[in-house]
Amino acid sequence: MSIPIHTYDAIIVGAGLAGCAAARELTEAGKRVAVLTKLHPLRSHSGAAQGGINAALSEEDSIELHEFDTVKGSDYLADQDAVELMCQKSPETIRWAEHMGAVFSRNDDGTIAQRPFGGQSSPRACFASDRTGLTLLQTMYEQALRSGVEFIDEWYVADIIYSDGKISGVVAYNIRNSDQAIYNAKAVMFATGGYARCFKISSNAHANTGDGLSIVARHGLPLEDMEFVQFHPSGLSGSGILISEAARGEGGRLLNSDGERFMERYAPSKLELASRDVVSRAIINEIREGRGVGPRKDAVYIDLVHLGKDKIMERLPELRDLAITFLGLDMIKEPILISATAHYSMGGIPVDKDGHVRKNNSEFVEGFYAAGECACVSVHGANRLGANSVLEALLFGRHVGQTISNEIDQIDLRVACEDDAVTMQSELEAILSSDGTESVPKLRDLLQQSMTDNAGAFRTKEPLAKQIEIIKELKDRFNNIAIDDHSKIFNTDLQEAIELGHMLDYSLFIVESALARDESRGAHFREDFDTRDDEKFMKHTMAYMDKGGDITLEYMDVVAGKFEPQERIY
Amino acid sequence: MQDKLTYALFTGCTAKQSTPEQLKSTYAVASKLGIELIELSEASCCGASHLQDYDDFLSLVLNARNICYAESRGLTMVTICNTCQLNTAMTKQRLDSDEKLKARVNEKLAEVGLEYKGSSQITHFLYAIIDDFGLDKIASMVKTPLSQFNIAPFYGCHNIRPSELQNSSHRTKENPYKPTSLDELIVACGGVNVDYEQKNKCCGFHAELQAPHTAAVLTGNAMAGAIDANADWMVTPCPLCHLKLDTQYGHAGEAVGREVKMPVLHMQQMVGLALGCTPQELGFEHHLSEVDFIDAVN
Amino acid sequence: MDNSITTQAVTFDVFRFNSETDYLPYYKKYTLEVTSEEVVLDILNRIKWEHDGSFSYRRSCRHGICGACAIKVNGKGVLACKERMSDLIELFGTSMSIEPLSEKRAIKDMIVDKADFWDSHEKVKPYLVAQIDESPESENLVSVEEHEALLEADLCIQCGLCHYSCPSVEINDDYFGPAAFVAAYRFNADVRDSATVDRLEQINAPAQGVWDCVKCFECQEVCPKDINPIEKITKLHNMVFSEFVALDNVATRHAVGFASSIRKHGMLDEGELVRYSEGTIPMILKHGVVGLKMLKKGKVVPPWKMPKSDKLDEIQALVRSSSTAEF
Repeated sequence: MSIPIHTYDAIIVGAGLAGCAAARELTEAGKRVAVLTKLHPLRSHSGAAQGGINAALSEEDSIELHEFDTVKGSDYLADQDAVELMCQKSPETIRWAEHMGAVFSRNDDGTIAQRPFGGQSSPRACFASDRTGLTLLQTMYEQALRSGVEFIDEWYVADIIYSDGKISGVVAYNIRNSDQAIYNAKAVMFATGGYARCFKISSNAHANTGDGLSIVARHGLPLEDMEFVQFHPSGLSGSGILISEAARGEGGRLLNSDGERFMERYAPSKLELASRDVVSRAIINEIREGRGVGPRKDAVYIDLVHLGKDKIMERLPELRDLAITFLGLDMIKEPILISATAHYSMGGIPVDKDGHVRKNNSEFVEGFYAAGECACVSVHGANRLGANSVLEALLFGRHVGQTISNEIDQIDLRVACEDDAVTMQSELEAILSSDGTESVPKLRDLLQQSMTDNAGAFRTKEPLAKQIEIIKELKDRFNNIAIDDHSKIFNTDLQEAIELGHMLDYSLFIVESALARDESRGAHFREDFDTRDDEKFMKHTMAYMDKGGDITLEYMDVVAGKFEPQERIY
Repeated sequence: MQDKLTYALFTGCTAKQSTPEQLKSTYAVASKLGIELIELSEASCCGASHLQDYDDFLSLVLNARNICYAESRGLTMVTICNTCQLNTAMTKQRLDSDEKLKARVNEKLAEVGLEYKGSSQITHFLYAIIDDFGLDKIASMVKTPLSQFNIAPFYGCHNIRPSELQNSSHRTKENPYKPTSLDELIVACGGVNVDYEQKNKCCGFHAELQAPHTAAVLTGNAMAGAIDANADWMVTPCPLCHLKLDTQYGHAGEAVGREVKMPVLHMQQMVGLALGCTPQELGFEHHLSEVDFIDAVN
Repeated sequence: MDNSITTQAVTFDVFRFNSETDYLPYYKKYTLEVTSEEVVLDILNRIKWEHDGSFSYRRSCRHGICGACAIKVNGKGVLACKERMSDLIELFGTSMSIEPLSEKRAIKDMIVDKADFWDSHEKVKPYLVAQIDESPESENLVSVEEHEALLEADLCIQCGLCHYSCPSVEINDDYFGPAAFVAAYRFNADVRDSATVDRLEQINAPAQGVWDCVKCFECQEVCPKDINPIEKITKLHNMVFSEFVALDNVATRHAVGFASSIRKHGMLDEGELVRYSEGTIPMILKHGVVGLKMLKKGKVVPPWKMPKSDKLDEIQALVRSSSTAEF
């Protein structure tokens, strides 16, 4: 089959905050860039971020405190050079977003308002009511549009063109009509988002299937710290849909079935505003010990009634709306039901602080960059602080865009050929022609349920080992699927199958990495190794998948800095 | 019935000019039902949502003034035009929910010795008779049931949308996507209510001058919908919808490529017919579309 | 919620169409046990995952913020992920149709071609027009009042529900539609923006601009984020006058004519409004035949019989003291 080859200076995959910010930088620098996304840019999950974006703006706060809180929050797994870059640049980045049009909530003096968030020494989260991500995503998209960025939406990127340590483009098909194309470029940037969709109870969008990660991994490139998945304390009972940390930042209290404010036992000083991993485990523990509430007894209460109607309507209107929609409960009148939900991916495609994708511990892939949740810089280490994720996406998206535009003239274009599309074509063909007996939704459900059961917020050796077997079995069964839809237009049945393939691949990275990490650090909690082991594990996991689908693990040193590891107490 | 129902009637401009039959039939029905209507003779035009486009503040002041005259009589204001209902009720809602705005408006009203308090309810005649008089009671008073007619209700926009505002003005809870009050009134009058897709849609009246094609297509679609649902005639609580449907069927037919002429009654005329009012009392001589079917009723 | 979760059977008539293979759309019936916890997207997912994998729709965030999953249920526009089934059952009972936002734009099942929506959006310059400081040391100061002046227009998620519920959009392909007007308002109301007049000239254009709004309030009714597009349309109308970009045409004269009429009579002089808006000769050409019929039926009041409000002097005093616009 003949396939068109389009040539650009740079191709960006994903049109969330990171992708849009990078694309604007490149376009403003006069580079020819296109952004491919499987959604419309404004549907990207960056827009779902609710609570805030951190910057040390106030006089009581400082860049160094922001750095310290981030490193401490990461349980000392963050690379301190990257944390330093992020925290230093964050005030400028947020003000830049403001100048571009972001609609932040304001103080009486007209400056950007800030609210407290978990794990922070000072109210540091700038916010736009409870829809911070939405205003930032819209602003970045709007200004990218204004700069003339070319968006190619509803295209599915299925593969990269990679060989000999160098990338030269991506292979994709048009979801609207199945047209295929090669996008040949000197530089490729992945900004494909997170991977928490492999869990049953998750705050993530349907689209967060981590495709970008396993596309990379299938070429034998490493994925870093995949075991670190953040379980957010406040997902709505049942659906896992997020109730922002702003609910606790504004004063929400957690109560169990005895009406006890149980965080007094787990984090006597910070209470509800302890780090996310601490609060999530406290909630799950209360439920496990029989003090859960709700029709399934699978939740605890968060009580916001004392904030009063005015504050809730001003600061948390979207959250109120969500609880009414999904629980039928009005937080103005009554406590609502929450429990931990898979939320954020600390791990991902390993990059240095300038976004260069690592080939291994010491080498980089030429022309390949990544930023945002799909990347592991690592600024979040083992646990991300609230309101640092949109910051990372926006700041590193822009920064990596600048890196690319500085470096792109030194990169040679390796001309693509039709054969570069073979992997994608055979993947599509295999799924479309497979006439087995397994169903994609069924297998996906089995994967998600078992990941929540066996690789969730509490982990132990046996369930993790069992989960490896389950994933391998599901992978076998995946070879025997059949899909209903064989049409060329909007074949979402086909797309869901491709996405499940990716979820199965990267889930194994999560579990293998988790099983090998015999310690508890940040979001990774092993009941059989319940303390942190800095001697053995203050290291990044670097996991590689071989052709047979097996995972091998290596470790990489954490970039040290001014903060020495200490015990993390909230 | 305990006390006599008494309302302050805001006639609006249309009832005094292009739809005299509406004013006549309103009084005829009120008299049959024993409802007293005290006309707000001081009232100005509500702005019909067009003054609002030019000078929003002036429209607030004028509508607030109209409401003052219902308040000073201690009465609920009843409207007989959907657009009057919308603009007056929306003024009330905005003033009642915004103390600063209310103060600004009252500053102006004070210059002519008035004060808006927010003490009067504002409701459309359709809902006044349903809420306060009762459909059952109307049904029990019917002299000539309209059982031989398939009647297509046409609700008009400004009585059902925005539903949050409208449903705070009256007790009958109306679903704007599936309104039922007018259907129930038809049934109470002994008629057969016709269901069709356009019954809660727009007639295009407000864009008649600046977007004549759009307006004509909307009228055409509405009438075609009623015709295709085998309606004998249409009924509406809004004089603006009535004007559009009763007088603009020619343009509408051209716009949708088929003839769409059909009799259209004001809701008051329908009730009046069922209660035994004469055609003269109901002003049928003012219709453009033929309404000779009423001979069959009397 | 501490109460138990209940279920009931609901029958769905689902619009099915694949523009690649089907000449005409058809409907397929599914009866599902629906729980009191479910939203419409759960139903779409169950149809796809349990009954027919080829059933297609857009969706992503699952909680009403990405705007991908707008469809119509029994003609009511909904964001599938945010519409509770229990609320719909209360409104419509246990039998519902599930349809795309716009049947004539359907490509496959619930998926519509939204090119016209995005085209309109782009035409209103939907971005802040300002000299952007790429490395600012401080933010623009924006007071709380200035921030509130956006009237939450920035919360629009471009789901398209208002656009495809708007009868003017349905009839007039050139009409920008409510969402584009919300975007225009969002930036025009922003103190940091400098393209207000540009945008007003764009949205003031005949046939595509704000004056073709039929004032049906469908946009306000359907908006899942309670943004109230028609309120923004009215604000844009006001800005057209306050920024002096109003053209002397039938639309603007129609609005202004109300003020003159009220000043004169308290009430609206219907005939004079039409004459003033359209001009005498165009009025006769356009409405002559109908006008004569109306005259014969006693529906036209001659100028000398024009009714006037009581206490007209009071109205006139208020018009003098409270007018805020000029033309």
